[in-house]
Amino acid sequence: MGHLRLGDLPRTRKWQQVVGLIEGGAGTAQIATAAISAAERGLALTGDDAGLVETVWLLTQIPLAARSEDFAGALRSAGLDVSGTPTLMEVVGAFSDAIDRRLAENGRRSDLGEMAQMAAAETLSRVIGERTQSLFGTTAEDVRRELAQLATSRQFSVFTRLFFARLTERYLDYFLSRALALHVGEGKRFATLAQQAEFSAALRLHCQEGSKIVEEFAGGWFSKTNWEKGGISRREASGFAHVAMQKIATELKQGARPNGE
Amino acid sequence: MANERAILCGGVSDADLPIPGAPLRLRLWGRHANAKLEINDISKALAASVPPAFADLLDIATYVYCADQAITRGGDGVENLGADWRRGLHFRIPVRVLDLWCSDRARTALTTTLGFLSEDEYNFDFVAWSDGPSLRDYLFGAEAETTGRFEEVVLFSGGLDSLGGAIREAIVDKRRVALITHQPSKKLVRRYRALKEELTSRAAHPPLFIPVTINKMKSLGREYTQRSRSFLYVALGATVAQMLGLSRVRFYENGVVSFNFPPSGQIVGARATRTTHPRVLRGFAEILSLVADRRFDVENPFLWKTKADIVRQIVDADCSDLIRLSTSCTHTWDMTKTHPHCGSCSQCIDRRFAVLAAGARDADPETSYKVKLLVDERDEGEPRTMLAAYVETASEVERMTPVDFFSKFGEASRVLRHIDGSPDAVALQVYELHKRHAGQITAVVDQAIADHSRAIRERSLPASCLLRLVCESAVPASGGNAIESRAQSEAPLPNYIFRKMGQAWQVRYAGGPEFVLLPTKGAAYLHLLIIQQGTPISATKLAATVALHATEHLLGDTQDAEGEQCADAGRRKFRGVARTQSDPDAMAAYRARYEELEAEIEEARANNDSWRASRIRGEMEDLGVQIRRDLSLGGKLRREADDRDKVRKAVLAALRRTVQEIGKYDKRLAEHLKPPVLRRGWSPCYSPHDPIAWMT
Repeated sequence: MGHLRLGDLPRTRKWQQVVGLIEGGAGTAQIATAAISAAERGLALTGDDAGLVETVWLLTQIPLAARSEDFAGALRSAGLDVSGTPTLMEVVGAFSDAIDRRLAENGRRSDLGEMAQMAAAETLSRVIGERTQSLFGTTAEDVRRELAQLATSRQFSVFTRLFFARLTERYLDYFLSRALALHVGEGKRFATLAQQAEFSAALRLHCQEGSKIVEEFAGGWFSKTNWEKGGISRREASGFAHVAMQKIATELKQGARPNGE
Repeated sequence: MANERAILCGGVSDADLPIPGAPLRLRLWGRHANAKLEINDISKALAASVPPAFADLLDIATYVYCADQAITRGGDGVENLGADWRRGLHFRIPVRVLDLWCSDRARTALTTTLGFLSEDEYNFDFVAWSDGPSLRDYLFGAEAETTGRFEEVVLFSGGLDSLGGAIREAIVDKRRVALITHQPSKKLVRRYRALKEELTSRAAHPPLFIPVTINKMKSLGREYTQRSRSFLYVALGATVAQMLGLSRVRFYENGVVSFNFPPSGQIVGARATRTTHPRVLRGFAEILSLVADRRFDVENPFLWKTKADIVRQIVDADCSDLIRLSTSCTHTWDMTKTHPHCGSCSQCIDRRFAVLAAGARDADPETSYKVKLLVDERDEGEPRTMLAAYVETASEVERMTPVDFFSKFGEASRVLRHIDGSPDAVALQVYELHKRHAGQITAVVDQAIADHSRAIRERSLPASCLLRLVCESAVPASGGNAIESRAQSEAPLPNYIFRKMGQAWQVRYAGGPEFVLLPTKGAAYLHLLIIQQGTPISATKLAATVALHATEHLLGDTQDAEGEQCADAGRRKFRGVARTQSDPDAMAAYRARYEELEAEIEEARANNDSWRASRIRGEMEDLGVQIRRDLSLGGKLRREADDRDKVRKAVLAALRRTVQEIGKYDKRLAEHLKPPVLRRGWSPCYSPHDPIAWMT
């Protein structure tokens, strides 16, 4: 490991409650609810975050590019610097570089944008990698075909849900990882590191459940916007990202209330 | 951007600054110099062949390095998602070759490379400088001419990886190398000297050591993260390479550290250093090529090696005795002669694992670590979090498929196109490197568990040591403070639970979701009511019982006189008796006086004595106000607020808040806890229609 900068949770009352819930043995859903309430201020920024907006916008452009006759050319038009026959790893690398380049020009990097960028790269690797059965040695045609499938309403919904689930998990972990390791050991919430890992796995599942709501409207929004406006602008991507994150936050809060309305 | 600062370098004008606020002034030369760069032990004669752009490069790199340490990041910015962490740095720097630095290529290469390296936003305003010092003025100490043909310039920090590089270059490959060293701490001087002597004596061609020092005023050392430091080192290395007629600089750092994928969710962006990240090295090469006006390379030959691989190479080169002379620890302030390594920082953890994985434990004595890796107690906070993240990440990576790996470490996407080779081939190598590293770490842990199995079983090791953190406890946790782990409780939970769990309350209603209530008075009152369901309990008794319990809990088992006094004080608090605001005698006196005044005012009016009548009227009005204040509407004496009433209100408010909190997690229970099931008033009572068997 190189040098790593670790930090503490904010010392607000809400975060102290989250720590109290971890100590007290509360379940994943309850901790996620308390954490999302404590971290709500950051989520309110989603529509204005240049990194998140650029990420979501590019995620809408890649499937559309895969449907065009000149796949590589369409990717380049979207800002992805790729060869004539891009493989999956090349697309993923170019995707990340395109966002970095854009933010370096505009100078508005944030942790939320950074998390979104990483979550998108991870989701692309996961979804296309599983469909092409491999990450290495994929052909450009395999990659184009699988990415093109994401341009359908149904597939875009599934893909977007996975992206937002990963982003939400990263967002919660951004805060909770500052506290969880302090509760490992004898007589503490997690007796061993393995138990802490189980909690993290449960949190991942919880985020996936909470992101279901995105699946309900993402595909419709994608198809409708693309059809009506002949493409998707960054401004529209910004509005979509904001609504999606707000809905997930609301859903996660209700996730701790199985008997709730 | 919240955290912005202008930096004026070398005495340039402060006219038309791009941002308001006092600028930071940095100066390497002259009467007002606050920083100084010295390149030692190299002949001044060699500077003649170096273009002035290299002197500019050294100036720029030194100013960036100093500003990086002088301007704080304002914490890690967790509350505002890194807004404080990322700074806006506006430099105005005088340069000798203005055309070069003002070109779009140079400016873009500088800002993008440095921006990625430190995650700050860089802006450069270069101004012409005709009479600046030359490169010769940075060179010190070598009287004799530096002679001989050199084949490589290597940056040598004195850590384990760079030692491995120096051994490979100078001893194994028998090459003529110049080693650029930077000594940030005087504590390291003796160890450097010993290493230098050993390398010199073993190499076929003694390396040329070129120590570099940067002295700056104490006030310029406010930020310790130093994310931009490798830019200064590469600038120094490139300048020396140019002096020696070379076009390449080498860093030696293992690939896992170069990539430095974050092991914890809280580490976002450059909070994990990118000192030798492939993308940074490529950016450096681009800058250096522009400065040299020819191709200039920056390499890391250990990119595909783990630290353990490097230790094995050192051992194979028969240099294992040099390992103990190298220093990896970054906590130099904690360093002593007996413990040159703290054992807690990420570098110490990495080093120790590598040495053990390479089977070279004798070459690096465990006693040189203040905290032993496997069996010593870890302090709470960063030391424990760091170790947990390191080991847990290795355990996870070891089990990962390539898809799992790349869908966990998005940072890998930033590497793929910045290393020679196809992105697929690079991705495969990245994956294999990390799998190998993870395997080496987990093998060390597995071996340690086997070696200490008895101590683990007997629980004789400290509770927070690594081996205890990774091993399941065979025996349930002892002591009353233990909070039951959910994973340990295999038996099905009862449908109705309201019980204390550690400091908090575990709650479940009618087989619904189980949740936790944080410790509040309201939860404690509710607990008492549930225990005695069907029985009204006065609010004062509830409050007194809970307060007494809290007092006794605080006092523990001590039964001394002082403890009894405290307990008595707690009990007395709830024995409030309401008092009237005035006593009856005073009220009778007020009334008698009022009647007297009525008679007197009649007399004054009869005598047409208006002055006396007005004085009496004033006195009567004052008395009237007092009497009205002390009497209630019914004409009885008004009582002061009742202490018991205050207690009742407080108890009911606490109960109400608790039921509201419960409603966040289980609406059915919140609904259940409404009247008539939970009656409020002077004597609250929990009385369900049918008795409920709560586990309390």
